[in-house]
Amino acid sequence: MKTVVSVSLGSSRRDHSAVLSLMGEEVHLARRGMDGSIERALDTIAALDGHVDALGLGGVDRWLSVGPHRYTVPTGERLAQAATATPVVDGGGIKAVWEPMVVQALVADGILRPGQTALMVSALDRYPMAAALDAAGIRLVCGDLMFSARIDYPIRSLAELEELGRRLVPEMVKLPFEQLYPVGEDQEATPDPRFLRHFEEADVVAGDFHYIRRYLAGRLDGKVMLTTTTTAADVDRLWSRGLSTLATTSPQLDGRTFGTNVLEAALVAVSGVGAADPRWPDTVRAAGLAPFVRRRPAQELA
Amino acid sequence: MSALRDTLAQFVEACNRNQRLQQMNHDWDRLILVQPDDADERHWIRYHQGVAALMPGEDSPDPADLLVEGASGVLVSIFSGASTPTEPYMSGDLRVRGAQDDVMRLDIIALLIWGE
Repeated sequence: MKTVVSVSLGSSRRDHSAVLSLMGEEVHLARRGMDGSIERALDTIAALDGHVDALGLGGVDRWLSVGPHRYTVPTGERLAQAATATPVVDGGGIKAVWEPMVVQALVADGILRPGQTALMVSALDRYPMAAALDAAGIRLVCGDLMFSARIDYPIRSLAELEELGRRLVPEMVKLPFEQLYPVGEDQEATPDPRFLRHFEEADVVAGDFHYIRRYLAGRLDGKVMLTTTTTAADVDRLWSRGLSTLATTSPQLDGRTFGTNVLEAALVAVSGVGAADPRWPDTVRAAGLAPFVRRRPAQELA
Repeated sequence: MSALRDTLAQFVEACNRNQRLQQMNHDWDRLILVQPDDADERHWIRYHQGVAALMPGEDSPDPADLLVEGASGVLVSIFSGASTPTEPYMSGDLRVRGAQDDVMRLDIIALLIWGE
């Protein structure tokens, strides 16, 4: 059995482990939350280096790819460099190849439809998903400035997202990561209602679940959510708020769906192929992945 | 007029010419004090309903929401767009005191005005 560990800057309260069957092989997956401590994360990665088959980075990216541009995130890069023997992945390979395929599959199934409005809570870290939604004729509202910087300015096109990315990302990635992304206890904070109207106006809510959770203060009646990293309690909360359909890009195991970094680490562990390898897209396609789609249970219907 | 005040006047003008910034800051009402370490100057910028104004005089009846400090040269360089604020901020050459969200917004304003 292969072993992968996701070292996350997030809360340790969300730690869990499971076994995933992938490409005919079993992979033991474990998440270890560092409660926002980069030093603990560095030590943990160094201690696991050479003892597991792949490592995932949670709550931080190594790079942000926006259109043709790729920006190194110093915190993520520093964490990745703490391992010298074991491959370290941040989920970017899954976001680049698999998540657009999930969007296309959901469009083919009629779950996503042209003309809908999608609130992407953070699109700079999920540009391929944003581009796939845009290509499907879905109106984008990107919340990067709202949810990272509390600036009430929705970004309404891929072109503006790319332009803002060029201007802001090279500098913003130098800031302490916790200023931009909920880590540690912030992941458990009471939802902040200030951007509620953007949730209300959207047919689809997409992107990182930590941002969604942190700002989700209202009802979700009739809406579709496309996300990852949900727990059973998160899912119950979404149903109770009236969510119509939940699609996660990773499979559900023991009631949880894992982050993209975990999925990518598992795939790297069993295939030996990394995201920089030209064989990566074919490897992802051959892995037999499927989005996890659930409709609101009947007992939750009002 | 000092070089710093001249630079701040241009900064304010650039903020007000930028429609996107006006939209972004429509709900951001803040008083910003820019104070160099090496000169006896104090400059106040008021942001109100998306419009920035360089206040006359060196005093304000209201306390600052954001205090921006550093050597005159550093402040001129940042507010003129000759350098970005992030690195001097991280190195301590630029000190910005206030709510974290306001500090980040000021950073974003500077990056969006002068950009690329």
